[in-house]
Amino acid sequence: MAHGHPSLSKGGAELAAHASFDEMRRRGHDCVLVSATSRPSHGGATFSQVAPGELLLHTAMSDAFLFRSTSNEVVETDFKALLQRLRPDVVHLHHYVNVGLNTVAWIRSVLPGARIVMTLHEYLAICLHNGQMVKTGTFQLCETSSPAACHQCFPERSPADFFLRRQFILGLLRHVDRFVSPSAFLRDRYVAWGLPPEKIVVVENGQRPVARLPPRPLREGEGRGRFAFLGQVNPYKGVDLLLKAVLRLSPEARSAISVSIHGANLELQQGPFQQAVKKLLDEVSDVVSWQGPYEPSHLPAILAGVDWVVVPSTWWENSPLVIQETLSFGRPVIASDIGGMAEKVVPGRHGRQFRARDPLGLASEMEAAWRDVDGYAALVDGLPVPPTLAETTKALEQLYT
Amino acid sequence: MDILAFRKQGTPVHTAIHVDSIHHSSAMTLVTGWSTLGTALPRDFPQQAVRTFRRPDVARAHGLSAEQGWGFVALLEGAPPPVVGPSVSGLKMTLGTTGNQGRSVWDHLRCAHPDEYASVCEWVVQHVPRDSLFAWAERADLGRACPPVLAHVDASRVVGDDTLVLSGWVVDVAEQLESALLVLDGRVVADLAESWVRFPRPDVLSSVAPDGLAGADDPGFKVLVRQPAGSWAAATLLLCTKTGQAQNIPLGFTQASTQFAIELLLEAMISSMRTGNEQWRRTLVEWAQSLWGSALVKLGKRPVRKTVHGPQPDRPKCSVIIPLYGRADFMLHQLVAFSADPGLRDVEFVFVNDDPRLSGELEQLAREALSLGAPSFVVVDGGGNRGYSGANNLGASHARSELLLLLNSDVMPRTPGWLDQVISAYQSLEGGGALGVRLVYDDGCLQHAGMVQRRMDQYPGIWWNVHPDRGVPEHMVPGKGLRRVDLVTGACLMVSAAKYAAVGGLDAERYIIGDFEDSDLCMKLKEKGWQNWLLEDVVLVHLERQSQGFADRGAFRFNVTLANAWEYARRWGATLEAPRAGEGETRP
Repeated sequence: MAHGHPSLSKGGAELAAHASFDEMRRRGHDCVLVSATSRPSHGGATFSQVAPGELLLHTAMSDAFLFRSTSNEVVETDFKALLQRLRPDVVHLHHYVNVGLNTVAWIRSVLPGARIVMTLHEYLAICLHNGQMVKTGTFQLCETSSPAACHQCFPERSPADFFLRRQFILGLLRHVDRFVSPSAFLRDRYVAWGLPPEKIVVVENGQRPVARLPPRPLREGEGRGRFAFLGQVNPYKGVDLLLKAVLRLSPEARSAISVSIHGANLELQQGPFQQAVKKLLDEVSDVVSWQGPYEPSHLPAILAGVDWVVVPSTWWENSPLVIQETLSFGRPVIASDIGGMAEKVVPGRHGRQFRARDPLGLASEMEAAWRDVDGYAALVDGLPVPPTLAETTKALEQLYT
Repeated sequence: MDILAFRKQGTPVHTAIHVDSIHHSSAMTLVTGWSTLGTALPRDFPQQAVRTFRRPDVARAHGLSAEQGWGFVALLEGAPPPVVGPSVSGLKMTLGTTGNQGRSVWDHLRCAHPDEYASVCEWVVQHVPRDSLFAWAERADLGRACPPVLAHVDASRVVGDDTLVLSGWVVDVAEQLESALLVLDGRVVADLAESWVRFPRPDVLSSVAPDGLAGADDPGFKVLVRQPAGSWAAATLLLCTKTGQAQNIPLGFTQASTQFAIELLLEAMISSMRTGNEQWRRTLVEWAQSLWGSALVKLGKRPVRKTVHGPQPDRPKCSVIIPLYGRADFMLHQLVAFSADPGLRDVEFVFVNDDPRLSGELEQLAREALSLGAPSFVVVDGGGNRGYSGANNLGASHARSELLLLLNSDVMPRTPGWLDQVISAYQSLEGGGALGVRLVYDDGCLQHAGMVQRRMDQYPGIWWNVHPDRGVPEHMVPGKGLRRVDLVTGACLMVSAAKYAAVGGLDAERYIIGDFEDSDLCMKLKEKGWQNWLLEDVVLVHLERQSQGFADRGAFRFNVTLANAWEYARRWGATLEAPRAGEGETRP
């Protein structure tokens, strides 16, 4: 079960869930993918079909605070009937949003003996601020949630409400037998929040095998100065930080380095952020080219032309898909030194780190990366291959029995 | 029509008598008018008493000299006859029963010469019995004749169909006020000045007497009047002075809820604590109690609806009674939290809806809770707000176990098995009364581990419940096993059903809404020789609104607390003063 289907929304978690489903099926498991959507269905039916074996569950999470869907007797009846019909041995949920935590209790009541596994994709249960674990207002990084701290971020809700929120979510998550966390960092955050550590296993989101790209050929005397940013453009992804770093490059580096931005959804951001990014883009137009959004199929061509991918997110991240993809294609990464990024990009092994949110730190890492041509060769030579889908699926199978 | 016109046929207009208005009650009739005949009215005008005065307007209108235009006000005994005398010295006179065109008697007297107006008004006040006077004074004021009594009625409310509550202020600098007559439907029903509670109103003084005035110390008044059902449309408050002057304040009574009326009365509670007038305090509390009690009696007649959710245990080891007020979602949260605890399977959960606003939401949440795996439970709905005591008593009347646990809806478990621990601790006690547990806030700081009572200079004559070590991190306050205490909170209190019944349960009528009724229960149990205990080993989370201090809960709730504290002190003060034995005893 997934919180969304890639045909309707292309988030990293939806893609990961779908890839995992495909791989399971390829390995001969009899499985059905049920993805939640709040879109209306034909004739108001609870289910519809996207592709053979891929159902949409038409439901709505009416209470985003507690991840519950209320007033939904029809959905409950139909969903339970589907479970009765399929009688799965294992129900693997990706995420608890959209499907709602009710679902977990319904699965348990219909299938007392089934194995319930849940992959956690970010921190929504822990943090009401879109699961970012970044303070409202000040946008400071948040280390731990607590009723009092969350009340500070959301004064309209009492500490008691946050206490009850945690209690309610944990109360329903107790039906889950195993949690899968794509990063140790996310696991630790959930353990600190209250999930039993013995129930959480770290399994990375596996990658489809791809042909590793050779290092970009260099002209005589050229450095490793081509950088790319890939992904969403929003205040948490740090594209503005990257542009500010370019402003701080030395004149020499600035004349040699180029940055291409393959970013999506800038037009959906709030006005001040859009304007700030556009202003910065004007100031660094000698270095930075704006390429717009990309399709996964473009990735080999994009990466073939660059040396590094920069992941400058200003929030913790979990296990960004872009890191796994970039490493799969044999390109190193420069990432913020916090959270899932710090875990997935070990300096000297997967690339380089800079102090999160510090444009000067990023600028000096970019300069050093550009200059160190020999170091680059050694780094790429020893670049680990991220876990493949086949490997991670095998690890998941261990959790199913 | 309200016309009495008599005019000599064929004579010029300037010899005329005209009646402006007729005001009457069953006892007497008052007629105002004018005459061009001089100061004397015709001999056979059936007056009891008459007062004449100069009417410059009449003289002007008729082109007469000033001394020829006269006004009169005359009193006639009884209700006005349809016809008063067929003729008087050739004048034809007819008198019809009357209204007065919506104007008060005072309005009609305003045509008097300015020098005479006040004395004419005074004459009326002196000659007319009060209960007639008000009826003629539908609209306010004696104008310039008014004595220096400033008054205003802020609120006049009807509760149920037989209780009136008034709130307002009177500034009587010259100490002229003699009575404040409440007039309903043409009858004086009460002199409020005999029963009202007076209290400080700094807001009033700062606006009407900024420099401070003697005799203006306690301008506020609150009063409750029991008055059988009737029409309150034509209600007035008539303020009468020692010099016979009167001021008429029209009242518009509107219906109010019991709670609103209690709120209105108890506004004066905090200042009555400061002024130290014990009698007034007692009166306020008794009024509030009587309103609360009447509401409970009415509620008691309503049908109680009990909804069963899920199969109930045959022989529950405990009946947990949980009143719901204000927030319905606590029920869902508790039930989801309870669902993880196998120790709660043979338990009867009795939720009592004490808030009619919640009914619809509770039905929805009950269904949802069951679908999320909640233990079975019942919801008892008494159709109204009975307060914490009434709700618990209602729940207890539906409980089947021999053991009751009174539990607040915002108390949440931390670990499974807690109820079994409480039950076995209770069963280990010989002659146990109430048993409480440790309660902590959501941040782990202590909220309750038994209560003690303390006086506060600020509020003389009452005892406060103090929670020792409140707000201290729980681990810093070691405690183990059972400890004998005077009082435990009703937020989580175990008591045998038989003992609960033996002391009459929680006192619903004397303790308004909630506060101190749990202490009262503990004292009643102790009085019977049953001791109260605290089980230190069980810790539950109590989500009591922690960001607010006692006095910040809102003025209304604070005033109710004061009233209940006063009642508690009245009842148990002597016991609390006496030395006690056995306090602080512990058992492993």
